[in-house]
Amino acid sequence: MKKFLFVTLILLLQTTFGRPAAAQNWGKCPKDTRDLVDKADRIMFAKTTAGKMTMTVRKPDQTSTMSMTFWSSGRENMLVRITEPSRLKGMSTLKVSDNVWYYMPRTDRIVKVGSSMMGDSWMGSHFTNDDLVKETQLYIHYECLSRTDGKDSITVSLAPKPNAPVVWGKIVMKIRRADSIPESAQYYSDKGVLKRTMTFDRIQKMDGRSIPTRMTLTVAGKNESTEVVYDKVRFDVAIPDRMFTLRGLKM
Amino acid sequence: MYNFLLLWKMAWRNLWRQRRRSLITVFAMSAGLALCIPTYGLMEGVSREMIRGITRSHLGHVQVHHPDYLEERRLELSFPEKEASLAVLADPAVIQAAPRVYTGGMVSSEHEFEVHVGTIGTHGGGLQSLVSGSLPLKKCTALVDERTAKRWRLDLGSILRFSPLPAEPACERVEISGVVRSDPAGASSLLMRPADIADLNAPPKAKSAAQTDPDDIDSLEKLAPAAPSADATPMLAPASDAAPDAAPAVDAAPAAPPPAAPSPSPATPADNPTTVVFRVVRTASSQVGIIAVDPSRESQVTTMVDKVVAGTYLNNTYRNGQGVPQILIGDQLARILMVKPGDRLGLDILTREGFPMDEMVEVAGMFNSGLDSMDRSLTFVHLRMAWDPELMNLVDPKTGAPQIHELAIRIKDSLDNVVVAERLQKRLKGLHLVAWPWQKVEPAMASMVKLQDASTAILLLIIFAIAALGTMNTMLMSVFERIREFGVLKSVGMRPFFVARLIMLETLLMTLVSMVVGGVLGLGISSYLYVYGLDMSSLLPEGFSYQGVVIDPVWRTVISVRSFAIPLALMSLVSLIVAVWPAVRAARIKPVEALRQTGV
Repeated sequence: MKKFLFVTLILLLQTTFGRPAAAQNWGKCPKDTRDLVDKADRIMFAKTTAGKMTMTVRKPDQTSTMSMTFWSSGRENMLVRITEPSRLKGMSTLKVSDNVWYYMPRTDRIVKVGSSMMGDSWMGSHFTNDDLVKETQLYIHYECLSRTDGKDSITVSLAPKPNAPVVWGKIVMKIRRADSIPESAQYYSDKGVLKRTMTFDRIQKMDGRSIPTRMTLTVAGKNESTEVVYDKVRFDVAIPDRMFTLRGLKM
Repeated sequence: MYNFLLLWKMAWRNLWRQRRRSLITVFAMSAGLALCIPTYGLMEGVSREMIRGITRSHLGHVQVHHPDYLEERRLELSFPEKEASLAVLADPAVIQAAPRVYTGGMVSSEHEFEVHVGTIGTHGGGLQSLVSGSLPLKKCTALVDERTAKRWRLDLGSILRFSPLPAEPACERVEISGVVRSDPAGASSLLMRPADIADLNAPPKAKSAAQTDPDDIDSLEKLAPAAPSADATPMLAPASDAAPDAAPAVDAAPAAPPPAAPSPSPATPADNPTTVVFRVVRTASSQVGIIAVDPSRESQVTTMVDKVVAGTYLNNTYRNGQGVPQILIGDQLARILMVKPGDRLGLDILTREGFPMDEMVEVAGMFNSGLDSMDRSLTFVHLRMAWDPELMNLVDPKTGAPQIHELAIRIKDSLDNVVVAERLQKRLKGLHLVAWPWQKVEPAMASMVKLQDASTAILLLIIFAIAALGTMNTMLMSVFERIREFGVLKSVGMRPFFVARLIMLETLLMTLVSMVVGGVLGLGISSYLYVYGLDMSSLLPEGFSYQGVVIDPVWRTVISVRSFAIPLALMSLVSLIVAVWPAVRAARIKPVEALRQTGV
């Protein structure tokens, strides 16, 4: 009888903990890792956002700074317009799902960014046009490889799910334990070579949300970086739909 | 001394004794030489022509770069033009140095034309007249008639943009979903869904005063916190409904004058469902490589000017007349963009900092380099565009001194280029630049020339081998025929070495005669081929071209000291070598056995 009970217990344990393990865990990590990563991933995400930012591109022999205003709606639509310096004033970028257009004010032309140019730099920065377009959602396209819990932060490594349409072979994210704000993310190629590092800092409250207001992208092995500082961000504001059309781009 | 003179006398007499055989040998050797000299000259001519084609098409004989430029091709790896040019042009071997700047960008052409926009049903046979594609089922898709599609190279998936952009919520752009048969009498037509057409025809609504300026981030109103949705898109639909100035309200007040903008032709009122004329823009664009050159210096180094098939090469002045810079494009690119010389293109050029700056440019001309990929994706502009602060701005960030990526150098003798490159390298040491011969810049081309030289060597070897075998044959024959004679010579006391020398000397005499005869004949053939050339165009009707290097189908010889010296030296060497064996045979003859034989 005792033995029977024991067996039942084991069976019970297996049914409760064994079978649904796939649903409970995310890859090789505990279930809550997924929420943690998703929260960090969506730290800036809102139904709509609008704001102003300053981008500084540092290269060995030159540093260029530009200010811009941006509007976005969901992950689908985004419009960025350069306000400074005067040489670039009015130059705008519109993204609607997979498409990117530039508006060139000098010649008053709209230029669609062709697929062959998607890998090219966006406005001389270390971001590419693809970075604007790709809608990788970490919790959908990636699986957790390992998780290390530190005192103040949690480090999670992510690997893409088989056949996921993603660029990176591995992402290592460091997330602040207290509020799930990302601290850094390291991006590795599919051969496991570190390609670039993104660091997030200067956490401030903007429009009621705590967000990292500075984002720095450094290219591995080069003394180059692109820094984006959010000067002002507003979340969930009414943005007219026409902003995300060619009319809005040309405005 | 006595012996030596005797030897010469005997050799000379022996040759005349066997006049016919000697003549045959001399003839064989002369013929070999007469063939070898022009062959060598011809192959050297082709080789030089190849080098000329390679270096004069774009490379130049020597190139100067930043040490890392060729490997990384980054825009920042530039150097000051003035100092480098001065240092290079100071060398006496340099004819000219062409400065170049390489960047990338995009060229696009816009063609605006009128279309009669109608609903799907209004056109001819409707579904039956569909030639390809499918009916416009999605929003902002349209059918186009065959003639228009052909004229403007529209295909399934092509995009047409309305000009000017119609007011909301009408389509700004339509995607071509299918092609229909043309209406024989009708003009260009675009067939859209009734709903899309209604939007297009709606008069533009007046701007509501209440509308906030989206540029003013602070004044944007907060969304109602309701309707929480998980993600992405659902925002779109409710927002347009919620817009305070919804379309119907404006439609009710048609008094509002259409301000300047879209042009539903006044002849056709909006309620007429047949056709309305709209202007649409067809954009064709292509990503290109841009090379900024100094037109006058470039044309002294390379022959791109000769490859211009329509229009002209770039003007020497940067902004001529109306201030529109010129661009030279490949003929394939011109076909893609549907432009001809004199047309305007939009150019987005990558600046030193890496972002695009735009400028309208005028097509000066089109080139055909013979290399499709080049004709499709390469453009040339004036060097000053690269230094234009409004455009590429490739200047030293501190001093503002104009910079370049490359100096392509033409020197006096193309075969000297390795030496000249080394010399230039020394001159440029202080500027931290490298000067490479073209063989180092384009190793593939260099190995092509090497391959050509190797095949020349093999060809010459075969001709020499034939001539040499002939010589050896006649010499052996003459030894066998004269066994008795040698026997007598040896029995009267000639030493074997003397006999061997006799044979060698006979060969040498014949070789000398052949060299004179063959040399004269060779010179004659060479001169003929130098003047008239060897026309290979029947074998290579398309001309011979490799990697954009076009080689003239009429091959010409080069008459140089080398093209004579090498065949002549080789010929005499080979004849003497092959004479060794017969000479040894003759020396070894035993007098007793030889005398027993019944000679001729």
